[in-house]
Amino acid sequence: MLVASMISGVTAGLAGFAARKVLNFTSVQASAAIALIAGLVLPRLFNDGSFLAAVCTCVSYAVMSSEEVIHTPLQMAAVSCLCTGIAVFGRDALVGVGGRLGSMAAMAVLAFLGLRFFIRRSWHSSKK
Amino acid sequence: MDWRWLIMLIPAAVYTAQLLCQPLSGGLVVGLGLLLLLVLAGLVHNSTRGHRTDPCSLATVLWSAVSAAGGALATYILGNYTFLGSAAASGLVGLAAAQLLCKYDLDLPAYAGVFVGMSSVVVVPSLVMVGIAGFMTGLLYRLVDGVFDGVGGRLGTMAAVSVLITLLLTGRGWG
Repeated sequence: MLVASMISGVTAGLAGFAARKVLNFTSVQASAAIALIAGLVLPRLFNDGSFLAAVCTCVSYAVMSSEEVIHTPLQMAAVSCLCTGIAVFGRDALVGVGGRLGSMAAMAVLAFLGLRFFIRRSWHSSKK
Repeated sequence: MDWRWLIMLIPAAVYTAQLLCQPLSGGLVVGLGLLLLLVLAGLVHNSTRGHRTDPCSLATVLWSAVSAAGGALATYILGNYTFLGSAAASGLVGLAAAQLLCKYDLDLPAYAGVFVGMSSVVVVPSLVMVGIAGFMTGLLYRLVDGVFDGVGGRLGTMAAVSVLITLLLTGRGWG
C-alpha cells in the first residue's frame, strides 16, 4: 500500500511540477488538473484507487508551492514522498473534514523546509 | 511570528491530537515527533519570508468570501451527489475557477472554498454549513494574507480551519 501510494504520489508531484514549468499552468490549474485526472482514473483502475486518488490530490496541493520553496524536480519528489507518508500515516486523522489533504500538504512542505534548514546548517558547520 | 500563525496551526494540532488518541507503536510515535520537529523548524524558517500585501477593500473581501462559498457548494454537490467523487469534483471546480475567475483575481479564494466542499456528508451534513464554512474560508483567505506564503497546502489549511470552527460552533465537535 505504501509503495503504491509513494509511486502514485511522486508521479503526481512530478507531473504537476512539469505542468507548471513546461506547460506554464497556474498553480490552481496544475493542482486541479492532477486532482481531476487522479479522481477519475485511479478509482477505476485499482481496489484502493480512491485512497491513491486522495494521495495524488494531497500531493497536487503541495505542487502549488512557490518557485522559492520548491525549485527542482528532486525537491518536488522529496516533498511528494513526505506528503504521501503524512497522508498514509494520518489516514484516520481529520476524516471527513474538508481541507484535511491541504493541511497534510502544508505540513509536508513545512517539514521539507525544516529538513532543508537542518541540512544546510549541518553542511555549513561541517565546512567551518 | 504574529498571532495569525496560530490560526493556521489548528489543523496540524487536531491531526496530531487525533493520532495520539489512537494506539500507536513506538516507531510511529518517534516518526510523529520527528515530523513535528521538522514542521516547527520549517515554520520558524518560513516566518521570516512572509509578507503582507496592502489592505484590500471590503468589496474585495466579500467577493472572496462569496467565491469561496460558491466553490465549496459546487464541489460538495458534485462530490457527494454525482459519480465524480470529491477528488475529481475538486479538480473540475478548480479548473472552472481558474478559467472563469482568474481575471478577477478570485481563482485562489474559490479554490480554497473547493477544499471545504470536499467534506463528507457524515461530518458536514448540510449545504448551509458548507456555505458558512466556505464563506469563512474566503474571509480567512484575506485575513491570513502573508501567512504560509508560498507553502503549498495553505488554502487547504484555511479550509480545514473554517470547517473545524464551523463544526465547533454547531456543536458537532472534532471527533
